[in-house]
Amino acid sequence: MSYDPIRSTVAGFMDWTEDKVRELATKFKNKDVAFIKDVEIINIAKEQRTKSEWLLFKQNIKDKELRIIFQMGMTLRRLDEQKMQLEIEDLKRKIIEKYDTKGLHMAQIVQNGVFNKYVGNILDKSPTPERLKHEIEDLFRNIETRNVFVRAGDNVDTRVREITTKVFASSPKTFIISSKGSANIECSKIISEVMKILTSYKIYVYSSEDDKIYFLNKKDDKI
Amino acid sequence: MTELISIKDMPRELKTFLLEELGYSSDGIFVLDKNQEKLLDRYTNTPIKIDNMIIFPGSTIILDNNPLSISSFLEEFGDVL
Repeated sequence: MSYDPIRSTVAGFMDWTEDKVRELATKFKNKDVAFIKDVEIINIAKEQRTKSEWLLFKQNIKDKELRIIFQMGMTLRRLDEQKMQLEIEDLKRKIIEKYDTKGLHMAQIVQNGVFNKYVGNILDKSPTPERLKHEIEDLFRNIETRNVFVRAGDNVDTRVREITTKVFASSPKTFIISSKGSANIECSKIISEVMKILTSYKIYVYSSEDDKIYFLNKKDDKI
Repeated sequence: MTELISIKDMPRELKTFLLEELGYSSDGIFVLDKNQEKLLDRYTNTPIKIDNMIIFPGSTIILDNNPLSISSFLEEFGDVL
């Protein structure tokens, strides 16, 4: 088996005895060992901290809370890939308990890939490093007024009113609308109506087999 | 690099013994601190169950085994695991 510097290996014992535990406790006091339950969760946490999107984020964002939330978004995505539904629901609950629903919404734009596309959308405008940093932080701090996620069955008129109200209220440089799967139909209807009203915005679309991400960029934006 | 020891299959009475060796204890369900109060996870602020505890070195940090607490630990103390 080849050595993987990211993934930890773990030792376990079948024959636990008091002497063994005492010996390990001594090793622990010398900081040689840690006691864990499930190495997979630790490895998932460690793996996220080696990814390019994390390195870009931590280079730009120093806020400890935002950094944890970002890692939780990446972790949610990883758990989703592994179809660990119980762990996903448990983690979402913990995120809400600590960071409220706003924190969960921040994590979810990382989970569903919106953040990566958002950075691409900003980089297309050749921003200065300071401006890139500002735009990333602005998105996270104002997530509730910069982003909506359309769900299947959403009422088109209601969502159009919600989106246009948010845009008129804060006049963001970029507003994000995204959807997944069967909600893509409602989302395209919403976009069509929204763009009739928001004439000072132009639209950029990222589309994959299952996801749609629309960036509404202000026409007069000079980054 | 710190060696990771899985205590998943360690009998509960030996987990209690381990906690006592480190200056803590348990009521059989939760980890108790030196004042016999339920020990709270420093990141989620919730009581830590003995069957779901993880113990990281340094200043003996006992946490609940979940991604939020583990990532918060790595963020605070660096990639020590």
